[in-house]
Amino acid sequence: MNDKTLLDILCRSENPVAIYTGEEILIELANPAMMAAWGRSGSVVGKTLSEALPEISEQPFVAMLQEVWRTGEDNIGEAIPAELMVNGQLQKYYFDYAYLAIKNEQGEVFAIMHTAKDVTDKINDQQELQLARGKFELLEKEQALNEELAASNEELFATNEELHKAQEALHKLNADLETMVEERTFELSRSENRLRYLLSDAPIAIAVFHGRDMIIESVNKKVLEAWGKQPDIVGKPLHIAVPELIGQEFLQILDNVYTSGEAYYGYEVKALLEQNGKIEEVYSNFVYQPLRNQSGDVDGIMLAASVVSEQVAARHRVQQLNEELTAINEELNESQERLMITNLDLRASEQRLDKILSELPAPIVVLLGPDQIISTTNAALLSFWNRTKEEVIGKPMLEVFPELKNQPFPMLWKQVLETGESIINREQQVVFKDRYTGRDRPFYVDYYYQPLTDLNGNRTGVLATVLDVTDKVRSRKKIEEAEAQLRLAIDSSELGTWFIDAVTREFRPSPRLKQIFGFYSDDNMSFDMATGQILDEYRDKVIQAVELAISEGNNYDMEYPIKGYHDGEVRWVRATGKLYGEDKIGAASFSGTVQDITVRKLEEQRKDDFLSIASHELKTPITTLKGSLQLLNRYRENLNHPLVPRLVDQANGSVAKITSLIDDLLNTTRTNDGQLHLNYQEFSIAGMLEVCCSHIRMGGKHDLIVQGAKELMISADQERIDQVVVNFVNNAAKYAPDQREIYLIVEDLGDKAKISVKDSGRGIPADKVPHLFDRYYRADYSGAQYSGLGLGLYISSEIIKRHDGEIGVDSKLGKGSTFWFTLPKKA
Amino acid sequence: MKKTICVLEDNQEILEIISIVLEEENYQVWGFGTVSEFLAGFEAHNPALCLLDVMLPDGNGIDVCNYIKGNINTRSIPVVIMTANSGIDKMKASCGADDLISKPFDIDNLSCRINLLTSNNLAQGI
Repeated sequence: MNDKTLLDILCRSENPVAIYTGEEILIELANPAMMAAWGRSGSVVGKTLSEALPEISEQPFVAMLQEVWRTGEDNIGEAIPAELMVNGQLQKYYFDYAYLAIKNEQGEVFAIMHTAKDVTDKINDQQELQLARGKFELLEKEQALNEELAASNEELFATNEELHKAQEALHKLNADLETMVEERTFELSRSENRLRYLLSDAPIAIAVFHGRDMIIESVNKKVLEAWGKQPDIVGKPLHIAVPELIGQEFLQILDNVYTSGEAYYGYEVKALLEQNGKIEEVYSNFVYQPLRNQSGDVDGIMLAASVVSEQVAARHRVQQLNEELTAINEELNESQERLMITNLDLRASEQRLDKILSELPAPIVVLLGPDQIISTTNAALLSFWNRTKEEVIGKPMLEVFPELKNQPFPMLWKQVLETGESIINREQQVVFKDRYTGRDRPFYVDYYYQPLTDLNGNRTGVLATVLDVTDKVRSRKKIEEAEAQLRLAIDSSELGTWFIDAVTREFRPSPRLKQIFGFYSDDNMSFDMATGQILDEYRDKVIQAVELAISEGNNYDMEYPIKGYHDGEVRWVRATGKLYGEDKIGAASFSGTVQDITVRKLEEQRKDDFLSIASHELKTPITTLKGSLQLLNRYRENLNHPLVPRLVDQANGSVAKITSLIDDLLNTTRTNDGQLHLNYQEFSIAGMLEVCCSHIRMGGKHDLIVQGAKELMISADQERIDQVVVNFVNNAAKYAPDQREIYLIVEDLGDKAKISVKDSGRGIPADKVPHLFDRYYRADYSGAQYSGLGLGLYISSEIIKRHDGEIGVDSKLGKGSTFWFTLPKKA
Repeated sequence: MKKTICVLEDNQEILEIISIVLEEENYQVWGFGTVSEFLAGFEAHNPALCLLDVMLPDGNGIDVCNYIKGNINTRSIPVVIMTANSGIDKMKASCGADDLISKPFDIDNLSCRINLLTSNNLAQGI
């Protein structure tokens, strides 16, 4: 059998069969039964189901088929309704159907087989049957009801009759009721009126509002008064009738009460209402009472309020008064406290006063009455008196200190008490008796006696303040003594003193200072005048040193030459100074002393000169010595050279000179130490003179002529006297080199012998004469014209002095000089 | 012909030494003990050199030097100053002396210096 045959057989089935492929449900095959079911003739193969049967577009079949194609699950169902267009009419059919998914070996769906069975009639029949059954049942029910109804009707008839009776009774009742109601209403309206009157005149403000808008239904006099309004506000809404309420809380509260149905109580609430044309504060206690209708809904509010402005005001005043009172009380408390503190302060200061008085270092005593009873004392006084409090309190002064009786004090106390005038005295002496030894002990006191008066102005006693200044006085006396001693020392030392105020530069020289500077003691000598006398090379240095000492506090110690103001003499001074009191303001001063050191300075200068001269002088014989020896050195191979002996002599001579110079030096020091020892011998003076000074005689330049008492003998140290004469003759030769004659003269003066050496040289100026015999003195310092040491005359004078003789010179400028000395003849 | 040297020195011993030394150098030496004597006599000897001490009884060697140097006739004569005071060298240098020699001197040194000065003089041609 081939496929086509199979297919034909299949198509003969009386049940509809169709085969679809594809998602679009393409009709591959549809048997005649299916075609009949669809109501289609002709070919539908190759069309989609939707194309072939457009009327199923709203029905689920295409979707179901697509579901089967997609899922591969069969869809089988019973009595599915379908509306199909058959013979031009759309009719409802019922089908039992099966959409079977045809799969290949792989399980993929490649076709859907649709079989169906038309069960429309079956279904319809079933429906009809059900309908008939239903009808039957209804019929039966109706019948039953009819029976019931008949029964009810009978009952109803009976009831109606009863009702008639009841109605009649009711009518009667109604009539009675109406009568009663009328009566009632009458009474009610009467009481309402009364109520109205009550309300209207009530001292309480009462108002009734109606509705949410608070339409004013009724108001009484009081409320009108409170609002300041007229009765014409009845019927208006509250906020229009009393516009000043807008913005205040009341309208809101009323609304709340209306809504909530709960009464609101306000206590002393302030409202701003118009009173007498002005807006004033009105305080009230009020209640908003909600009014309900028959249904129980709020349809109005009753306001009852009593104006309590006055009470509130009163209470405020009371409060204010209370507050003021509290404030006053507080102030009172404070004052009380302050008073207490002041009291305490007072007590404290009283105590302090007592303490101060008692601890005052100044002794104080109060003496009462004409007997000077000791009443108040302090520790300082008791210590001064060397007594205890118990020993003196209450006793008269003269009983405790009888030794004062003959001293001026009792009189003074009486005087103060009687005249009322205070007495002050300083540094008075008072004598107390030592309580143990009975010895007199003098004190110095400053005292101050004041009269004491009581409240009435009567003098009751004396307040005595006594200061023991014994120490002060004694110290001062000591200082005065010390100062006197100092003055004495300064005066005797011949020191000049000076004082410069460090700030004002005031310069105060002592008379001696002025003298040193060559001024007269009553001359005015300013600082500049004094420094003007300082020699030029030293002046600036001195002034600078003074400045430095004043400003820096440096040590001031200067030596400088000054030229005397009147006499022009050059002197040397040493000035020392110190800054005093630089730590005290305004007290700083620079003061010191000036000493005339001319003598010492000149000594120093002469010593310096001497040393330089000495070295210079020594060089001369050394030159000869050296020269001689050097020449000798040349001839050392030939000592037979004719000059040799001469040179040797020269050398020896030089050594001798050097030795002698050194001896002179030593002699000076020896003389100072007092070691000059004299060997007394008797010898003839003239004889000595004849042979002395051989070197001069040998020199051939001068002639020595001996004159006078040629026989005179003398007892003295011949060598030393010879030394003196040689010195004199040397001087004559040196200082009168051009004159040939030098005279040596002996004179017998009875108790002494006088030897003179006279030359006729240029002479010596008178002012040099006093110093000739001073150590190191050389007659002329200007230039180095005269060689030799200044020792000669000094040594000579020392020798002569040791002999108790005298030495001197007479000289006239241009004429010559005669140096002489005397020797006492030994008695 | 021997050259002449005039010496101003008051100390006899030193003068003698100097004379010996200079005569050994073949000079003629004339000595003077005082300034006045020197000034009176030195020109006449026509000295080739003057040797002056400083400290003299009647004068100062410096002044003599100045005189010699200031005098038109004598200013070409070399002058040597002798001094024992070394400190004043510097000052004396300004006086115009040709040389300064300090005491005590070395005699060879003295002769050497003098020889030098006298030979210079020749070279300059009096």
